[in-house]
Amino acid sequence: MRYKEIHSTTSAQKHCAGMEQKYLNTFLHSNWSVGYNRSVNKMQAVDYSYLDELEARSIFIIREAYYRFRDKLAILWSVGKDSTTMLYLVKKAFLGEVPIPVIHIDTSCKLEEIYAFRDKLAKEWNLKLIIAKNEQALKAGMSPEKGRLECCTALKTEALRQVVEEYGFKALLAAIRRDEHAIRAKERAFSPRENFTWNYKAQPAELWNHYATKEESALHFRVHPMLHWREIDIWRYIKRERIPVVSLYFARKVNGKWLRYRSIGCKPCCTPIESKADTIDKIIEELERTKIPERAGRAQDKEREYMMQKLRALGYM
Amino acid sequence: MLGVVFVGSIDHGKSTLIGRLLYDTNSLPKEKIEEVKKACEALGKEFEFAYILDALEEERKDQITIDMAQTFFSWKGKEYCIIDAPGHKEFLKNMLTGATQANAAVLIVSAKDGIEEQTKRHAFLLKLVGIEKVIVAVNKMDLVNYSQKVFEKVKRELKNYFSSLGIKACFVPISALKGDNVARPSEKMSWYEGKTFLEILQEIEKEKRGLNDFRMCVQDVYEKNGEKIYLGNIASGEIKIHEEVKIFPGSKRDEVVKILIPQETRHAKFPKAIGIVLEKENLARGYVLAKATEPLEINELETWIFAIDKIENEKYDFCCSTQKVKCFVEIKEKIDLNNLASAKASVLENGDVGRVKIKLEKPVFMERFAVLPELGKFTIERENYTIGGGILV
Repeated sequence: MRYKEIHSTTSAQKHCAGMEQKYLNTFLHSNWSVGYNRSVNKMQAVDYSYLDELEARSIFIIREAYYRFRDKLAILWSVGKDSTTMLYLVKKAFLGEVPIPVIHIDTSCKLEEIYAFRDKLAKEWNLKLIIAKNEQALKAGMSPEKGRLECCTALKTEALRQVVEEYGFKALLAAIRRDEHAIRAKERAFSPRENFTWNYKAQPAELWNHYATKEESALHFRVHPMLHWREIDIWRYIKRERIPVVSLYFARKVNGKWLRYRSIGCKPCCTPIESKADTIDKIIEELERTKIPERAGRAQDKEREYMMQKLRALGYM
Repeated sequence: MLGVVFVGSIDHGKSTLIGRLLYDTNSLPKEKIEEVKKACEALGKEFEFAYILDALEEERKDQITIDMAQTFFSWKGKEYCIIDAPGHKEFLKNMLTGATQANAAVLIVSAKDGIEEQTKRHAFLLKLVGIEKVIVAVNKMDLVNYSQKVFEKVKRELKNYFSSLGIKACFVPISALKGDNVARPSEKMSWYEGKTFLEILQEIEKEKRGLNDFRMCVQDVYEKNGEKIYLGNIASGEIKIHEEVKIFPGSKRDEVVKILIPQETRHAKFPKAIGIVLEKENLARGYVLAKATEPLEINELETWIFAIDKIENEKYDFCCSTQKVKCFVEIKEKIDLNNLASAKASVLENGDVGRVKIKLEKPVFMERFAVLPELGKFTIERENYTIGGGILV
């Protein structure tokens, strides 16, 4: 199967008017229910038992973070498949409950389905949901047109900084994975951020599963329980555990073309890929074949050399 | 999945070998190759295989790996997690961070530069983190005219060093830059009749470790509906409802009333993360649960450790899994990694290996690393900051 990008986007404005918005609306509002697991029963060729090890490792990290930070710990939930899987693992770690508050950074321009799914799941799983927005920047009309780095910094990093300060959180669970990007491949499970910056040149040692967390007042931690998962592991686990995911990930026909999102986020900076994978099994099958990177549809990664490094250093998730 | 860490002295070609391996096995997306090409052009360089993993701006500019990176790779049905570790002494803690996640190692030695102190340091550290499977890739053969003599000399010298450490290694002459003997046999080294690097890698199997008995370290206590639930990962074996467990320290016995994963279940086994409810005992983090056999009770330990920060004759924390106990470290001697001779010492610095006596204030319950790594590893912390570690042999 071969993919190609449908179009490259340059600004929010372009999306918010004219043809492309019309196309997006069709994509988003054609008859989809909030996407519960669409897997079909089929013989599994791959032995899924290896997922037990990934799961156990993640739960260990989650419980470790909760032990050390207790009510100073929060979960970053983008509503994407990775952080939803992480949320599910938190629920599993604490025997059916999510005792940790959940932060959703709302840039106000997320794909519509994300909001519907977020509210539905928050109710079903009884989440302590905190919605964080940088109202000031939104009022001032921040958009990717002002520069992607600037937009991400204002609407994500700054919004997060505000909410962390307001609630006094000392650590945040984030669902990044090493296979997403070469910079993320260098992350630790427990990553200290001094004044919100990632000092990638002086990361602490992390030997075996001993996570040293030197506590200093100015320090806050990013904890990454999903670091060792690959994209395909996430999907296999979603299938096995029947975890609900946003239906944006599943293909459907829009204006004669089969499209799906492989990575979701803000409307102006995410583009669907051409794909006929409309079930979990088909997505897994597709991933077993493709070599195209997952974040190929994410504009902010590509814009400039080392942009990802800069965004991470700034505390962008 | 097999974790393989790439170690060796700075500039001997670790990142280049990984880049070449991914490239020759067609494991890289077109976008990644284009990104590297563009980055090279911007810096006015020819295509650099090392840039595939060295993604930090400073790493590319200065041509040095600062922090470890991990990448996934599969070949002929086997899956690997490739861990690139930095070679510079300053970044030793990053190398160890990578090595403690691995099951096997590749040690890279430049045929042109020969064996350096850092080569030997990395070899010794592999031993100290319990890695026994090592491939030695003698790199940059293109720079020594593919000479068999040079290869044999490196092999002989390193083989002696390894045998004194008790590590078995296999050797392969390669050129990561040109691709000789990496994924395809080299025409320039017809004198070499052994396998290619990729073929050797293919043959490494993950060893099965573990006890027949149940082990679990309590990680936390979670209260739900007035009930105390002991959270932890099963480190070994299995547990059934109504079975009797032995609790350490104290050797008390108690009955398992509930097992939660998260719903109630009748039995659970390694590697599940579970919750356990007991009949009567009151536990906290750090307690070790067992069934038929007892873990090793350690009160004092004389062993080799590595230091990633200054260690003196001082009081520190001794950590093994979720157990954390105050200890006193007494440094006996420091080893010269070049000739393995040891000399009296009272302080260890970053990168040093020393023999120490560790006196524990309270007993810690462990297993030998070769039997059960989860309970066989330990680290030494100073105020929640890791400064050294080792394994129970």
